[in-house]
Amino acid sequence: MCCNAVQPPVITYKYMIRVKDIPLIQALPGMILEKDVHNSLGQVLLKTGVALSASTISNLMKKRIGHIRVQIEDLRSEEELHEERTKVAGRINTLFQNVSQDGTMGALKQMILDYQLEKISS
Amino acid sequence: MMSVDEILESVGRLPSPPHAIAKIIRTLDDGDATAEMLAKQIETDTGLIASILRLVNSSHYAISGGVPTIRQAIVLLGFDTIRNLVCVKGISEYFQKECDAVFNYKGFVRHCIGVGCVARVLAKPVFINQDSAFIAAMLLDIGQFGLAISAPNEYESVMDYKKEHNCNVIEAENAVMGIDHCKIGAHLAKLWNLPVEFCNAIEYHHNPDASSIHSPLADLIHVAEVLANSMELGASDLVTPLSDNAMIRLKLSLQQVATSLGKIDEEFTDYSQMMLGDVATI
Repeated sequence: MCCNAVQPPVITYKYMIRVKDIPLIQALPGMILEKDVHNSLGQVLLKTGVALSASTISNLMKKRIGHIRVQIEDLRSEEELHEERTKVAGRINTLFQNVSQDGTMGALKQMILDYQLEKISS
Repeated sequence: MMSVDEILESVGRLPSPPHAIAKIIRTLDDGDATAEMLAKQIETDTGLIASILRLVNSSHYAISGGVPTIRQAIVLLGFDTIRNLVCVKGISEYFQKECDAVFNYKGFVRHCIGVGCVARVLAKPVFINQDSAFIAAMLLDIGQFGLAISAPNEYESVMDYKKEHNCNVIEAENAVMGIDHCKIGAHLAKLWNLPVEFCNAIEYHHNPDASSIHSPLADLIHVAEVLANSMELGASDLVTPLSDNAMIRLKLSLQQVATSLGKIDEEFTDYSQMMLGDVATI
């Protein structure tokens, strides 16, 4: 193969999945469970990884389940994500404005920032 | 402007929480407390019976067939769970009942629940009773609540000062009134006959090192409030300094705290939803 051959551009298809707690009423068939659904007696009603169907949703409704944790596709653009991250960083700066930025408080601030940023991206 | 004595007197006239709640709170560290005693206490208060049955029959617990009586709820969900629910619900409803339109009740209760959830999660690695931690943390700011209800003009001046000077509420309180919500809260806690450890935790939650007796509960509640404000759980104040000594006394590292943040968020969402009927948002 000639080394000067034009290479096709590399396209990475990236689809991002987020984990979100939603009220059961917003559940749609096809959504994947990210957490076991169980009642307060510890009985597992549905396992993590199961794709919801119309009938499983209606069963959960009958059992009066409130919220479920599911995977949803992230439709936010890089710009929107960047904007959210900037907002979070701004809010944390405000919250920590009256305390030392070094030592334990500096470490705590960084820890909270890392956690909140991680939450946005995950 | 009222004097410190007048403020304490006025706040002291605030109706106390229902008798049953105060009595149940006093059993938190009592190893001899029994399900029978708990059921009897709840059954003295019809409002409480209704609230607890509503909760255990809510979607959160999803028990098929429903739970018709308090005694059955204790059997099905366990003594500790019901005692905790009674305390959290009782305190939330007390705040709601006594507050007026001016005071941001939901934001306040959400903050109390937030501090409660942090305390509950962090109590585990430091071997403190999780339910005591939750309830003591929920009562942390009763001084602020009492002030807002009993001395609304003073409370408003504090809020104005805070806004103008961009400072923490405690600084504003000391500047405007010469007393802060920690002292007012401890005064109320004593009047309500709450456990001594709770009174101590409430009085020193902003400065646990100043207490002559270092109780693990007071140290934990202090850490919980700083963290709840950092995480913006409920109506947050600006973050106040965390005592390194409290962390050392608790043998709690920031690393341990970091690994608990997800769990705290999860509990906070659960409890806010259960107690306030909405999903917590920042």
